[in-house]
Amino acid sequence: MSSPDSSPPVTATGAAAPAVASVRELTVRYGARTVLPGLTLDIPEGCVGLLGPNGAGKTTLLKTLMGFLKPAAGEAHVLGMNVATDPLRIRQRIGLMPEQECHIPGMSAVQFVAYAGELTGMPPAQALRRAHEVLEYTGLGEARYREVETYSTGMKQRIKLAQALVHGPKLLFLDEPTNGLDPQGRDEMLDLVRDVSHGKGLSVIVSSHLLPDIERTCDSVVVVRSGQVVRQGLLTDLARTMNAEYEVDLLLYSPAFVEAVSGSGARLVASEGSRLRFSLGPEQARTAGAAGRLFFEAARQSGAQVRGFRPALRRLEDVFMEAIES
Amino acid sequence: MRGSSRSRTGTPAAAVTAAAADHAGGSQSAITDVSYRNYEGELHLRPYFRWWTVTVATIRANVNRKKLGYWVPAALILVIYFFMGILHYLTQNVRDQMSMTGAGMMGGMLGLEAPVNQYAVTFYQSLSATLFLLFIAALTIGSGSIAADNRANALLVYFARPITRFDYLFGKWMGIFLLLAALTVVPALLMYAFFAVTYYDVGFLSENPWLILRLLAATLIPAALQASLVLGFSAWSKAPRLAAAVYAGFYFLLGNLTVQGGRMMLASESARARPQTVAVVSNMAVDGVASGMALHLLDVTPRQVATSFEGREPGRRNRPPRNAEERARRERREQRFQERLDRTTTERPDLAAMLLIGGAMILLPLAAAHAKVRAVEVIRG
Amino acid sequence: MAETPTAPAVPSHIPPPPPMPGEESRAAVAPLISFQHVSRWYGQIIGLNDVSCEVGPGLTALLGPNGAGKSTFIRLVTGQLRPTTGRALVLGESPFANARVLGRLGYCPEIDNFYEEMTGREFVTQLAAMSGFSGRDLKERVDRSIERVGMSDRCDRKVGGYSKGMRQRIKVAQAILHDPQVLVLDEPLNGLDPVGRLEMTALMSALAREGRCVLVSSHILYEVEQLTDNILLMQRGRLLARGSVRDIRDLMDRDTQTPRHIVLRVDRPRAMAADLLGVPSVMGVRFDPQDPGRLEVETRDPRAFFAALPDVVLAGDYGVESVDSPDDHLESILRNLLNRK
Repeated sequence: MSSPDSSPPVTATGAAAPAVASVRELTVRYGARTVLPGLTLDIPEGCVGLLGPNGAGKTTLLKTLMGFLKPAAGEAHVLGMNVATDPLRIRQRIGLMPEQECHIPGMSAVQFVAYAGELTGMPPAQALRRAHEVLEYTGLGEARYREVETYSTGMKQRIKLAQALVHGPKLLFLDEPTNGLDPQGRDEMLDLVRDVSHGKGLSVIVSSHLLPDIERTCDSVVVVRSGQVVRQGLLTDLARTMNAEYEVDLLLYSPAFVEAVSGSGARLVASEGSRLRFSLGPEQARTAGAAGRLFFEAARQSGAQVRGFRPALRRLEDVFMEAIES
Repeated sequence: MRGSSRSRTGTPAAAVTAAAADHAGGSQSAITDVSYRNYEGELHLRPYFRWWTVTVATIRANVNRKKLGYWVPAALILVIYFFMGILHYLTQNVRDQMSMTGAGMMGGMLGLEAPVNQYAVTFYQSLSATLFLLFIAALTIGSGSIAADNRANALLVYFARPITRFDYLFGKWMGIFLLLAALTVVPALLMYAFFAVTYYDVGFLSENPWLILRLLAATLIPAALQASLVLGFSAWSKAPRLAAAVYAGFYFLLGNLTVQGGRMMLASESARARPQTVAVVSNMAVDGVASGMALHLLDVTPRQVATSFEGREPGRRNRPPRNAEERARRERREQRFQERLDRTTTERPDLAAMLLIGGAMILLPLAAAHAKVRAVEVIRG
Repeated sequence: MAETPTAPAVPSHIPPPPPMPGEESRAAVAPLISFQHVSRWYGQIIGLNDVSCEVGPGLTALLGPNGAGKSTFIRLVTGQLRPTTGRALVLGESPFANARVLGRLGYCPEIDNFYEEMTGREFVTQLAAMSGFSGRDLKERVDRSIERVGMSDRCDRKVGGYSKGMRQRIKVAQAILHDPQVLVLDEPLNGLDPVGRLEMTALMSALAREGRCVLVSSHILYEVEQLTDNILLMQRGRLLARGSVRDIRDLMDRDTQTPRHIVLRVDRPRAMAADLLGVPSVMGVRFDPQDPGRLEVETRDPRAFFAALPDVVLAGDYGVESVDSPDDHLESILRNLLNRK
């Protein structure tokens, strides 16, 4: 059930981080198919990325956590409430930003968001006040009195976020938040997600196929495949490589540079055009800043121009691929 | 020096901070933090009234100037009731005169029934005359109610919240029902008030104390029928206009079939033996059920309705025909009257049958809507 | 990293494009798409404003914010629209209602309209039949294109049950059925999980390597970066930039208006900053209150800066952990281009 990398993440003090949602031996059937065969998972506070190939059971898990699917076996708790006994109260405390386009027809943005708030149980006056606040926060302040049907794709995404936030949920589900957004819109949306998930008393679960989005906003990730957790942990932990490897970008590929570096005990691991990857010797790996000196020396010697270098961290993409293929 | 530099900074924020600098340690100044705050206010979950929010939103969405399809029928219904009220007033006077002058005996010879519950008859006639307009209004406000939600994928927004399918459907139904009931109940109550005021001295209130309740029941039933049916059709479509067209097709088709069927059965010989079957068949459509139930609730017979406006022109009736032409005309009129009497069913359709059909018309569409509005498809896999 | 084809290997059954009238024929790299001062209006709204460009074989990315005119461009290429002024030529002719061109053009649209009741295979077969194939040829082509997109094992299920990624692949399958010479893909990576994206990008690269002209419109810049170096950037109906990203970046460097930012992580940032201020190509240094080791340098001449950097580092014996130019990424380049003036 639990692979080596799927222990719940720990905080700096070493204690287990409080879980905002947890499932134990959760079995969910969809007709004759068993989609989640006994899943056990703790979702920590903060911003968590939920990754997995299509059909891995992410959406089924989300549906179960929201109380729509009854588990055939096992249990699931969200914010301390049991999914099987308290589905409505759970839905009051969580917000969903769906992937698909959705809105209530025939209303302006303010009316829509206020109505959404009222449906969650807010008093009408509070709902309206809060709708204005949330629309300002998501950047729709100028267009708030226009009908939602007239909105562009980017604005529709923001209003989906607004209706998920209006009732002050403690847990937010974001399903492909940057769907259909152009690069600038994506920038702004990811900034919003990052802002709302840090220091505002909210936890966020982001489900996305765009790994750079996850890298930018989330603190930890959960990778699922075929209804099982195959990898879980803080991004910073997962990104650490075993070896001290460095990536170097040159202006132009220079064999003299490679020679100079190799002469000092490092080893060329890979090269792709003008991007090189070196594995440092143990001496160099231990001293901070030794890598820099090494590369600049080699640059001065060989006459090559170093345009950049950094510790080679595993990208989330690599982590994901590894997890899926294992 | 200080003063001029302060005025040059200009912006209010600068002024605030400058002021703060002046009031050393003063706590009057502040810059509001407008970044995101999470809502920590109350969130109640009224267990039995979750649907009310949906109802209010439905009503608010439909009560606006653009919905001509609601306001025009509303106005026309009022006009019809007004007209019927006036007509009743005029013929009531005449009938009273008639009975006083002895012309009533002639009416009795023609087979007219004693006009005991003429108020109920008028209520019934007004109601059945306005049923079609109620249909138009229902089409306008109801056909888009769930269909538009389907098209805009609004169910995703609804069901991510703590409401159930029942809350959603019942809320919508109640909103449409209340709006339609306003169209049937309000004019009827106005007419009731008119009668109460005018005929108070001839015992309007004392003779039939339950009339108001019967009237309310009779007027609420068509609203309930239309609300359920239009909602059922709306739930199965993604396009409001399509839902409207399908419902209209259903309404007209059923209406025509039942009325024509009833007439054909009346014309055939065998039907005479079973008038009850004819009655039920004729009243199986949407409006038919509403009329049938109204007949029972208001305690009116079809014969009374058919003959309600006869007995007019006492003066002219009493005069012998002046010439052959007039005699022929009078004979033709009497013949038509007799034909009409014959065509009318003499019985009210069976109450149990009406309840059954009416109940099905209310419950089946709602069940169908409930099946179609599926919450589990919130997040597609 | 991008691969530009050196000698495009054109499959033999595709006839070479006719030479452009009045132009010297550059046989190996003849432009398959050619726009000459194309403008297109919708009433008062301008879709394209005086766009001129040429697209040859290989993979070209069409980029730009929403509403920039990308969909107008695509519709002009796929023959759904005619330009209001100017000439839009695909394979040497106007594609509008032109069966000759359309028979050699494949289009994978963004929208998702299928007959939900059909299976994937049936859908592709139907479209193949509509394109005029039949019999054995039809079956072979259908099988081949379904296999190329990796749907062979799932093509016999109803489309209604497909995930977004599967629908995407079926769309591409129908686009490559007839071995088109020009292939236009609108947001092909939408909805695909990382594995699917890898397969799709591999497929697109392979198709481009075969000598086809593959035009891809996408918002996912980090994928585009890895796919190709060749871009067309649009904004508000105008073509802002075209060609190789590297060349564009160099052009931007030469245009001294664009500052470049370089981020260094160093053990003694303030000391190093003092030293850097002595380097003439440095226009400014910035510290980050949240991140003590971070030093951001602004320069108008990155070449000179990087040439001078090793000396500064070694002279002061600084421990540099990393050097990064965030401006080198496609995203940053686009942002600079789009926010000019």
